Amino acid sequence: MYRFSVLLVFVLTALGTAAEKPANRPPVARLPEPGTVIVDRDRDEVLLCATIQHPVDKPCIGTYGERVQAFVGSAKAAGGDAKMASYFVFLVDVPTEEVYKALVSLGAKTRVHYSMEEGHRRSGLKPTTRPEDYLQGDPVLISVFWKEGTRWVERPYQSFVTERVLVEGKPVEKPWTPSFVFHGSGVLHRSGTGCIACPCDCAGGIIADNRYPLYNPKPLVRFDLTQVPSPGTPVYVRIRVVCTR
Amino acid sequence: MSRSSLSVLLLLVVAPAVCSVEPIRLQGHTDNVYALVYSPDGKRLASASGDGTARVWDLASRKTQAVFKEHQGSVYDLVFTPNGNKLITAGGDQRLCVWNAATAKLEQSLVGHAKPIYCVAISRDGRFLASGDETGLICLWQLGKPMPIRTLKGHAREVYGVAFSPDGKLLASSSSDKSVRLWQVSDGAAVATLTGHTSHVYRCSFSPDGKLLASAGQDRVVRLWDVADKRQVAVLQGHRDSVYAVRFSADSKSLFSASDDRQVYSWELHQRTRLGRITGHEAAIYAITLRSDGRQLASAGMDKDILLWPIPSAIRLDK
Repeated sequence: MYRFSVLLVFVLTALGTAAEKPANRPPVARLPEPGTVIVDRDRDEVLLCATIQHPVDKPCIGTYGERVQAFVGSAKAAGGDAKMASYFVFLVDVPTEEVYKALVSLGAKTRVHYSMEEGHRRSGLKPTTRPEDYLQGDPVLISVFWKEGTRWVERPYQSFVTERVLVEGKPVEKPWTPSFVFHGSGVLHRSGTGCIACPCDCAGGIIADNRYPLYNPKPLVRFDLTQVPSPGTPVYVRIRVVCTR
Repeated sequence: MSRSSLSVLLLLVVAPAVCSVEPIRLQGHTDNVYALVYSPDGKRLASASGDGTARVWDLASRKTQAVFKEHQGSVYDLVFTPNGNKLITAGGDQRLCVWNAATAKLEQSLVGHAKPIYCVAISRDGRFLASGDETGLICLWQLGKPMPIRTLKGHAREVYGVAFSPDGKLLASSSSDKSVRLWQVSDGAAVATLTGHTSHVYRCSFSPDGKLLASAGQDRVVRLWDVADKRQVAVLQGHRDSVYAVRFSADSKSLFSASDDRQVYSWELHQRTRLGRITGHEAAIYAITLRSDGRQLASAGMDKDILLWPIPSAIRLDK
């Protein structure tokens, strides 16, 4: 039994070492060139180039608040400048339509999508709220990575943000635990906002947190800019999708 | 120089460079406020909101006088008729609603758009309405008639602003297609396409003397256009983010602009320089309007509150 345990520990350690990538190598096989999208069909993921912005005077940056605009979004959308481009921390250099197409080409499914107007009509958690009052589609995971000196750093989208909830009337901080789904509304209904992944169930983007129904309630969130590089730093955004097949 | 202009100038000169004036705050909307307009007598203010309502506020009591609730979606713009008796709202539900402004009773729904309506304007004599929608379509209406009398096609994308010239002969429209267009009201003919903005153009406004047109853009500038020559005469730069709204003073000598950068800027139009700023909002400002006597400005936007500012004392002058 003892020999078996030693062997198990040895095998697990070896596996762990083998799985861990050296920090001086990019965390992906191939990095996207600026203005391009990499669709990795083996890993069901999409890789994008982005630039860091510090939108210090916008909602939820450094202070708790409600926000419909994404933290990751495109500079272009619907054939023009993205209307919400100045709100994004991670400003992606391809239009939202390209991101949408890349996710669809992997097999990602959108299920419930609406124009922003229709979204507002269905807004809020009420006794009459139905499943269709939530944007729906295949779940996704998002992370951001960049080179810091000689070292590559990758952080989940969730790690930049904390959430505040009220418990017995008192504010309590908790980890941000969104449920991101690919609904595609912003492209399918040409919202033009440029939003990619919204911190509430908002029909303006293409990915939303659908813990709650459309628009309301909105989670109280705070983005910590100290966790991201300085403005202008190039970064990469990884969107991994769990496709229904 | 008129007495009122002189007193405004004197106040501007003697006012300290940095002054802190607390605005009057009107609270009630539960979502973005997209448009504001004073009643012609200046005693009431109307507001349009993403919460699906319009409100009329009594400015003496600072209370909501009436809530207008029929729209099934956001209310994006609104106007009073010249006598102040009716309020006309433009909605995301593709309708223009005509209301009794005192009782909030819906009198008429105008159906002619097939997509959300983002803007509405009324001619100074109250005969004509114009409205612009998400597809770029503009409808011209004669007040009292249920269908548009004319449709104006030319914009390729959302029309966010429409404005009648003071003489009622021209209509200006501003659009996400980066252009501002001028139309002849009498026959709907396209008069000019004004290009220069490099991104979405939001609201537009004629100067009360009819000589200038101002347009507010996502390119962070206000562009001034000579109406007679149909050419750009100035670019007012300084905002750090999209400019959503512009409004001239009653004497056409100054202009106010409101932006996503949470500031209202005051511009002097002779030298075309910035006089100063009004600061107090916590988020993007989508709407401003100036009372006809020029002594009060109302602003509102993403933070849902409507702020009423005394003019000119609320302007923090540039050093």
